[in-house]
Amino acid sequence: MNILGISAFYHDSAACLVIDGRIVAAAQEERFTRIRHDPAFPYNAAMYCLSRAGLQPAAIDMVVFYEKPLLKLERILQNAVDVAPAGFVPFCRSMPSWFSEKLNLPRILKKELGFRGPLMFAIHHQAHAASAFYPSPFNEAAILTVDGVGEWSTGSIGVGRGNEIELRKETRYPHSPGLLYSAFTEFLGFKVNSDEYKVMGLAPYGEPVFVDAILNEMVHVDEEGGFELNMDFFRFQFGSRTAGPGFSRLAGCPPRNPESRIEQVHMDLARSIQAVIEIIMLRQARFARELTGMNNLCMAGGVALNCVANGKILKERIFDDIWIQPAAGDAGGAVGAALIGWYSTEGASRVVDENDSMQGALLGPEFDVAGIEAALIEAGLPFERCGDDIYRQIAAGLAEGQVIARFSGRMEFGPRALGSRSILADARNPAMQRIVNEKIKFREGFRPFAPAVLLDHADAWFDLDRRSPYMLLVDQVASRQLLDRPAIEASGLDRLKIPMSTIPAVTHVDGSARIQTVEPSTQPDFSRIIDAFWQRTGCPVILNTSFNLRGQPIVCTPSDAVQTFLACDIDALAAGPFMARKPFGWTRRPLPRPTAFRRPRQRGELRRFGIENGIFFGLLGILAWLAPDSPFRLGSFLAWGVSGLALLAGLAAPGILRAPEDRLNRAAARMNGIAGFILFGLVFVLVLTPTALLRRIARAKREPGGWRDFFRDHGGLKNMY
Amino acid sequence: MNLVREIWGWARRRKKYWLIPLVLALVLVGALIVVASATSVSPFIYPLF
Repeated sequence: MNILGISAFYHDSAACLVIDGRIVAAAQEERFTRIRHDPAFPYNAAMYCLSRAGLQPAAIDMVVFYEKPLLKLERILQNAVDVAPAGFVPFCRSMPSWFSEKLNLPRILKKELGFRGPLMFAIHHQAHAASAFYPSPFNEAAILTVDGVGEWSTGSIGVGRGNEIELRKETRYPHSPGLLYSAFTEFLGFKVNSDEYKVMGLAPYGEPVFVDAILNEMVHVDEEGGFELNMDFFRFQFGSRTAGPGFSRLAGCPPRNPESRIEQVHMDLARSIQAVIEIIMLRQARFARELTGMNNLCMAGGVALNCVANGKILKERIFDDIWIQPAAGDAGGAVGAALIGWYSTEGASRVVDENDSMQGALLGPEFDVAGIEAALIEAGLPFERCGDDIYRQIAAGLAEGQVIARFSGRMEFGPRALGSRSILADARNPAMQRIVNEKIKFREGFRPFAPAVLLDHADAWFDLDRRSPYMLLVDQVASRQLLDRPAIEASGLDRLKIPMSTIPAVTHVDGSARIQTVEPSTQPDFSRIIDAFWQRTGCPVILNTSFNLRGQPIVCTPSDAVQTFLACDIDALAAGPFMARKPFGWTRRPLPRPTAFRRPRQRGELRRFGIENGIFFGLLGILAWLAPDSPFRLGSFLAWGVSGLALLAGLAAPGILRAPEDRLNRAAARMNGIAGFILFGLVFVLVLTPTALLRRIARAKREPGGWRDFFRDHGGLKNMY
Repeated sequence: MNLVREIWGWARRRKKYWLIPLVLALVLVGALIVVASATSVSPFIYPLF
């Protein structure tokens, strides 16, 4: 049975193909369109998944969407009613896409993929829970999902047993740890739903001086990890910003402007919110253990990408083991949705893999040697074919202080590059953290890099005592690798200048590291690189960061790899069996600016475009002819001319209409947006605002915080609610 | 029609009858926009108004 899971229309659209319970392919749309966190329908990702299995869209047995659109719309409308007449602009901006996309999914699937079969709708946190439990190495486990918000839920606790998942408790909007963290992300001058990990990276530079203030004034956290936000501090209910003016009062400073200097207070705020989120997560994990009695824990949801908090949960030994979905954010919802579809079919059995079923997250496209070679030739790069010697050459280059990009095998699914689309460097080099941040990735200097270590050697270099193949656990660098601290302590970002360990480029200022363990069974190519480096230097640890520049998605194709290589100071590109260098006289070439993707239209669609326009302009010509004034009569000849050309092109050579059709449709989309804004604005004023006033007279209750029984008041898998 | 059926099912299941006028108004406007965007001549229709 072929099941396509889809997550789309919020951020990080993705598709996943599951065949008879096995995850065959998964990819995020951003990798194809080159638009970071692209929320558009994942046409390219879906087509890639199908092509990987050699299937046509007609072979899909079921599509499962990762959330229930009508429940989400209910939350958005109820929220709009709560805050009206405020929130006018965000409401009018967001509503058109609800009707052109989110509630229009059957039509989109038919139009884009030609799919007319059954369409199912999972609950958002069910999809997260399924993505966490089904691929995990556990027969049974507690499940904890935490994110910004799905339909109404912002987090859930459940149990997975065999092929069944039961969610028992949930927290509900507006009380959300994800939105709390996002509000701080915004206040600190970073992008919401994108840069939360920068706050996590900034935290160790600061002191937790605001923890008490946050816990006393901003969020109440109970012993079970249930929590209630003080909504006076937040603006996300109004739709435009997340942090309210109360943040400035609490922090004693205004919001930080993006790209402005990072002060000690910003680091202290980052440290404080990180500490608060850890308190919440630890209490929730303890409650999950108490509620379920399980020995193991699975996690998903955007907050589960907070690897520092994950490491703390592990360290506290609340559970024997934990497993986190590598695509824990919304992209992973596509995996969960497809697996829910599979396990809803009769007789679907679950085979547990002793590692896990995510296949090292290597679920994306791969490219053959000929395709890679063609891209290198086209770009005019000097390169040599090294065959198996590529590993030795990479290791030699790294040991000499070079920064080398690696492009090989299947692309990773999820936010982390795990060796297939990676930038590699020598972790022992104290200057490497600054070089890679500033000259290669053009990003903030404070941001740490992750070590990739051969699993067999991990315990000699880190405190971590288990696999961490997805870079989702933070632990301390082993004490034997730590250096003596200097007599004079540095503070703030100056702490970066003091080497902490024998692998300073991947050791954060608090002595921690976001560890990726690498083993030959799941990462044969990457483990050979690290093994060659170890043979050469005696160090089985290298710096691994994603092969992209700041603000760009990770590279997907050989062409993306070459363009990114030419846009920054990476020394060499090891693509497949080839080692490429910069061409003579190279200067940085900026990356091309992406435009919103539209599926190339087929001949039949272009023919219809020609005929429709031919008829329209023909009728317009008749109207102009009937008009009494002569200038209009002149116009009628013009209209008939356009009509004739459109009809002729549509019937005889529809291909030449491709460019005009694309331009006109993009223009039409913009006009629809403007028309939608005006019409939905009328609905806001004439219907929504009076409804809000009546509700206020009736004194509708506000949503309380804390844990509550998981929401059961929904339709089945077939329903949008 | 399927969407209308789903909306009715949602309102009954969730007992959110008070949201129905708002949802119906939105559906009407949304349908207008979807229909307008379904034709390839919509960029030429807007200037006529």
